[in-house]
Amino acid sequence: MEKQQILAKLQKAVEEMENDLAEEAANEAVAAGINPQEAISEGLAKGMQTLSQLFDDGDVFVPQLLLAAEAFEAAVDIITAAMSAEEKSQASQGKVLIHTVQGDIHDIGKNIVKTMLAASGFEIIDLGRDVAVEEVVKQAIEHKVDIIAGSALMTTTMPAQRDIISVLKEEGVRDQFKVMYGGAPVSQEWIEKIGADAYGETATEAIAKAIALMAEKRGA
Amino acid sequence: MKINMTNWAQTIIEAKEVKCLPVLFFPCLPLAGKGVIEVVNDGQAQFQTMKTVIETFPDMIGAMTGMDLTSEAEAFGSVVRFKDTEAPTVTMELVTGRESAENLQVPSLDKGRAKVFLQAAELAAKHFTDRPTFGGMLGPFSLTAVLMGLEKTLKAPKKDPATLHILLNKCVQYSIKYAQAFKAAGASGVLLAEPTAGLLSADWCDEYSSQYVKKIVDAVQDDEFFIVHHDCGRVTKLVNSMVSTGAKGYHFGNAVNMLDILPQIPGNFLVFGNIDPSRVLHEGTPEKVKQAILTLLEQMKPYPNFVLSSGCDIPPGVPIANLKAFFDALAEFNQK
Repeated sequence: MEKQQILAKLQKAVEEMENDLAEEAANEAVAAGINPQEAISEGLAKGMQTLSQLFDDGDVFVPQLLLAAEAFEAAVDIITAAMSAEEKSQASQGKVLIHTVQGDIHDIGKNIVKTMLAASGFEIIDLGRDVAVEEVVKQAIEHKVDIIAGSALMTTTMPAQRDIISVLKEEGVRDQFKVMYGGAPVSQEWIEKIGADAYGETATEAIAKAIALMAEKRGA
Repeated sequence: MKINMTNWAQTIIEAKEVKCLPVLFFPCLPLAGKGVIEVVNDGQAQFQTMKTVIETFPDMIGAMTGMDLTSEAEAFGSVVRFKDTEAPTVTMELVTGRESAENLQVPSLDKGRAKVFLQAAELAAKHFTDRPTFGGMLGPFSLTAVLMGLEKTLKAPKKDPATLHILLNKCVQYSIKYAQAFKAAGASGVLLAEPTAGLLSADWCDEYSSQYVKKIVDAVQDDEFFIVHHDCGRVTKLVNSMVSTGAKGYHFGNAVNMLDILPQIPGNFLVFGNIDPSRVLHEGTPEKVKQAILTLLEQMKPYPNFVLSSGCDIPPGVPIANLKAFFDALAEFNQK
């Protein structure tokens, strides 16, 4: 199969939320020797971008995004299986540590942002949900991430976002990381109040903010 | 005392003044000297808090039990985490697949804490004879999502619709029993919270939420029992699906613009909404609350079936000053 056909198949598999098709196309991409980054950016990521635009327009809904994300991740696992950690890191737009804050078990939004960040070329370390403040800071230092991204879906868990900033300052490492937050009760006012760097109201906005933060960080 | 809720709704529509019914319970716990854990486990304590809410804010047009969205799942067997500073939450999924869905037993109302909320509703219905008492319960799709996990439930229409329908049928069986028990306890209605359905497309909302909500409506709603269908998601395109349930009231969150919603709903149904409980009521100042309310009320002038409310359950910790500003702003608007 031609390279362009395989890339189109990867894109279609994500747009149609078909895991089996995504895995099949990913195996074909590997067999054809297509550069993994190209397979992701010119195939899978284009599918996610289509869905993400339709989501912003209100024509696609959260379940479709989640199903597309699953197909995307299944294909990425196959495509990147042969890459070394160093190769993955070199190809990355930036390294993001993502989590849902302590006390919060709602992780749908976080999972969507995670996939869309991956689709945009970011390397993701997902700590999951209900992650302790100290653990976030510890993992961020250990993995030398560029961005700490977290979500809170309850007003009662929002203070954990502020606590992360405080611990980063106490550890003397605040300047090493960009910190961005989202979640239903979070607002730009809150971000400014606690001294974080960016707020993403929607998944699409979160990606744009992450890209801007990386430009700022690399330009610094 | 039974209240004719059809007349109650008509009176609200015909009134010159705008009425209000925020989903207000938890922020008044300090005023009642209670904690979350006590009131979600003790019907008498919950009723005392309901009394405090009405005594503090007498313009509430109804009394409401606490909105605890875990009690139904707990009755099915889910483990619930309690804290005194937040509404209870379910810690993990109970249903892992088809087999566990098939084996899941529909619990009796004696199991779990349903009796706590039913007792609170019964005491309130006896005490408040000048206004209706509403119970709070979870809608079938939202309950299914708590039992099976949100992500798995949202993917299920494509990956395993049969298991989803098995669970929905069991949830709706329980919900009908629960709503009937609220009715028997003397409550005049329920606020049926179905927020998870707000994440669906319209056709999936029809198939996996609205047709099941309709079963509950058909089983209990009449002149003396009023169902308010709540969905705080981005539901502008789901209003027709929601209205297909036949509920007489619809409650919306701050994810929508009420100006997009009201034209879609017949004028004989009450429509409640939608002051942001987090960014405005929790994080805002009294002045910000007032501005948000006056803006919304101006927008809603053409719609006599509009009732001012919060966009969702108001969380614990909202400043009482902000709540007072909510009612003061409404009074100021009504005096104009």
